[in-house]
Amino acid sequence: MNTGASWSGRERHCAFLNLQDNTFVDISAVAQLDFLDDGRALAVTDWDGDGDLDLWLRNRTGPQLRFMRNDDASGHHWVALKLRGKTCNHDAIGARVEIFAGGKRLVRELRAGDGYMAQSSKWMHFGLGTADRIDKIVVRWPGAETQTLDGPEVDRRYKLTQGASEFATVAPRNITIKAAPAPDVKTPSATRVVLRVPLPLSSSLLEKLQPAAPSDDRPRLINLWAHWCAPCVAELTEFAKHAGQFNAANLSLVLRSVDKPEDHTAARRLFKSKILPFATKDASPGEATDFAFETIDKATLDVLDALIGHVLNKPGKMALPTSLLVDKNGQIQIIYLGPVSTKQLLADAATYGQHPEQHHDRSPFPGRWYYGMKRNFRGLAKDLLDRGHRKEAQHFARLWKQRQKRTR
Amino acid sequence: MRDTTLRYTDILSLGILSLCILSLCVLCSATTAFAQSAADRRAQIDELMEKSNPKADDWQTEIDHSHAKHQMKDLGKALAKHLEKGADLSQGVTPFFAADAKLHRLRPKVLDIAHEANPGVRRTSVPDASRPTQPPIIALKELIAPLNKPRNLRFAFKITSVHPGETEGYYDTSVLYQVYANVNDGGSSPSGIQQNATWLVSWRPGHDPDHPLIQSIRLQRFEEITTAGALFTDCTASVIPPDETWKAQMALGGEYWYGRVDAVGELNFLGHEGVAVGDVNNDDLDDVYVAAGNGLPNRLYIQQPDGSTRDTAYDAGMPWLDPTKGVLLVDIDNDDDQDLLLAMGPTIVYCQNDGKGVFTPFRKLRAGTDAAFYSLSAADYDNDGDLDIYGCRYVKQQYGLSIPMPFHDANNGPPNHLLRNDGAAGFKDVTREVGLHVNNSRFSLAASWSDFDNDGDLDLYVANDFGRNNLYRNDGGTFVDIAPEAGVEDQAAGMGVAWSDIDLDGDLDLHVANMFSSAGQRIAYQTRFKASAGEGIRKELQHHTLGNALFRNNDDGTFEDIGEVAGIRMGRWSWGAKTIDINNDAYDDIIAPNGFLTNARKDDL
Repeated sequence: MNTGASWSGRERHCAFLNLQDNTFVDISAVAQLDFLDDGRALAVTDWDGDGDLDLWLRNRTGPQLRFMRNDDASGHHWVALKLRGKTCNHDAIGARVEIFAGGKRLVRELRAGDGYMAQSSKWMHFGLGTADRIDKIVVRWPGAETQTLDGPEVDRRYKLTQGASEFATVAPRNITIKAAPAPDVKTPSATRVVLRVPLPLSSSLLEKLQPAAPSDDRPRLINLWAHWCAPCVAELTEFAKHAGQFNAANLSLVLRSVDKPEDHTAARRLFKSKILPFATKDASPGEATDFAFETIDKATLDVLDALIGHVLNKPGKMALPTSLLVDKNGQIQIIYLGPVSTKQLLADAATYGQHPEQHHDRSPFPGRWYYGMKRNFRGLAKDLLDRGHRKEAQHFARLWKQRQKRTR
Repeated sequence: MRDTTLRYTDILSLGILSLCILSLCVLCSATTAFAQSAADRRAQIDELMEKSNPKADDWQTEIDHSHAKHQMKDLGKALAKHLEKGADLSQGVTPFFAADAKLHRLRPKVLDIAHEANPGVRRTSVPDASRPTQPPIIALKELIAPLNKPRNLRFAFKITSVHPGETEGYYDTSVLYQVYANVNDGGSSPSGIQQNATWLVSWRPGHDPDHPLIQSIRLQRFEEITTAGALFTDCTASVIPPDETWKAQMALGGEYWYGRVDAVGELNFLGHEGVAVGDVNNDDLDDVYVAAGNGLPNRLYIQQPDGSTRDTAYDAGMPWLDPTKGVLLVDIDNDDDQDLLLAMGPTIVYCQNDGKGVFTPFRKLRAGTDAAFYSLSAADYDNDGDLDIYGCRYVKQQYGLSIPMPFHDANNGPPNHLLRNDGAAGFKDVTREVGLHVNNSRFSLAASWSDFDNDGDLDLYVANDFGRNNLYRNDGGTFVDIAPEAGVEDQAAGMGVAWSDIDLDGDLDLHVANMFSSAGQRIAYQTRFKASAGEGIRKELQHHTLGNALFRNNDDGTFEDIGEVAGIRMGRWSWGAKTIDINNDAYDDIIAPNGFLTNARKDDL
């Protein structure tokens, strides 16, 4: 998984038609169900009430959900029942219904949860084949009495309450759900990862990643770029054009080129000629900015790679450009993979890390977390130690020990 | 993947397997320690079996397989080139055959009509036992004749066994053949055609060692399915408007979100998130609740009168961001609305419905270990008038402790739990009290209740990965695991359970979703494989790769697996396979959504 490889991936869904003699035939392709999605749960329902069973498919891959309309045109008859318990559980889960029609006995049970992680509709659906009348219906309520009822008309939906002597007809629906496949969506090029739990950096690392005008109590944006990376240069230029705004918002910039030593001259030249002038222009006369050419050493870069890999549970994820929003307390709040707009940055800097116990809304989406979570400082320390960063490892080992002590 | 240190033939061998897993674990410990779930391991095993370089070992049949596979694939390409671009057929296919090659008729003249129409199914009744006499070009021409002017043409081949011949370089392979295309004879509705076949292909050495030649093809089975008009149509975008929210979350899958969310407290995006259909606002229309992965809110799509939906997760009070697995919509408190059960980590969160579809968390249900709940299944096992909850657990979540041992019969998983509904008093863990603690340390993915013996109480089948499944017979409120006697242990990679009377004989039969691995079948059936381990373990390992099982209820407490003759084994990694009557003919069909992990790299084709 971490190598980005696939395992038994791109496998097509299968569908098998029952040939009524204990054999089946694979109709996956002609049924148009042979998606390459990583399929998981499947829930069944006659969603549109037209008398055949439609599908909700829950996938791991995008689209995560598909609705498949059943276009059965066999002309076969059907009946659907919704049961309501009185003395038994009100959903009538566990009820056993037998329908006698066309010389056959059809048996179904109502259940909550089957297949894999799926629950299908509580409407009990019976295909009747060519039988156009139902002789009788026998309902065994779960843990209770068995009721025998005259067969109602076919091709209809009925409700039945436990103990009632007849079915209640449900009005037919005449709707058409139009064909419209889940559209392909272009994968976003940049990702903003708000950390669910902020990650406190060591003082030594913060020392190494100081802005040009050092200041302890300002949030900072650590930006990693390279002179050969066009989106990086574009992003930096954008930042430079708003240098005054960064100052006004009290957000420090820590710009670090990841260029190789032999490229430093070229990178410095590009920075001075293409980026710096914008910053000087945008700042008020005489105002200092954080725009300075600085490089990052290999060890520090490797530490950042370890931290990002840990947060995302995917090593080697660091893209260019990558930026880290570090709050005034030295904690990583947000990781930006790919470019980020100045507007977003300034908004984030004003929000994240301003309130110490900010727990909700820390995700790509608004929502609620049910659990509080603790970061695996021990695992992180071990990773850093394996990579030869003893001092950084000690920092997280200390945090882990402190927490252990607190919980004890 | 550090597979170079492993002997290819030893990959499934138990001792080495555990070593290999442990070394993988140690080597990538810090970054992946808590990503190494059992599912990952299964994937590693599959990957190792599929991808290891056979040449690094003397596993000749796998070398043969890889050559044969490429030849079949290229033969398919040549056929496609002829059909789609008018390339010369003889020129295209001749290079794949020995000069004196002889084939059976690949599309027999006489076929049984197995299903009248839409789909129309025609098939052979018995394998062709005659001596092959047709020249390749004739047999292939007949085979593809119905694929005239195809659109969406797709050939696929899967090699399931390799049998070495007497002489070096000569061998036989079993090949699953499938082709699909849309063919439109000028009519208005698109028509589809699908051919399925099993071929016994004999190979001989070619001009160079990497390109063996086909000496003969014998036909074991042939099916041709034709449709006029669609059977199913994707209407996702009609039902859920693809607005910005959809595009930002649901349109993207685990392959995108993995590595793009803070992973604290959760594994990779392996896709174990469920779906539940139910009428949450009592308007007689089904709605759908969708569980979502780490950092992504669960969604509640409420059906509107026109069949489309409105996402009310935020209004309904449960846009949970925590990774959520199994979900159920059931009336827990018997007040005639659908309450919500969510498997979030080691807790089942019970949310009450106010009758209008707005939910409020009411109770946290916990039991036993800290392992996460997977599938949930509710039933009134004690017939006292309210619904009880059975929760499956798959892996213990302590780092590195979730290694199934031994792989083919693992018994070191976390326990599942039955929570009895005691009304106002809440829920009570009665697992031990009712006897469900027996054989309860497997890697369980799914469970489903059914009164298979028709005695008025609900029995429980549990599908377990890495080993034996359970059939707990309910004897008036206490349970006995009768899986061995009933013949439904199905020692394999159990993933999903579906009960259904598939033969209309009045009792409920059982479909179990498993893993079909052609690589595993090829290797596990070699006599050399695990020769030292003894026939018993060999058989068990073989069974692991067989695919789905269909147990016909004998109505005497026993079942018979008719999966092989029924022709439903090849469901790949079947996950949520389910029985469903798709054409209202009263007989349940089977749909098996599958595929494990698809990622950006394309080397798994």
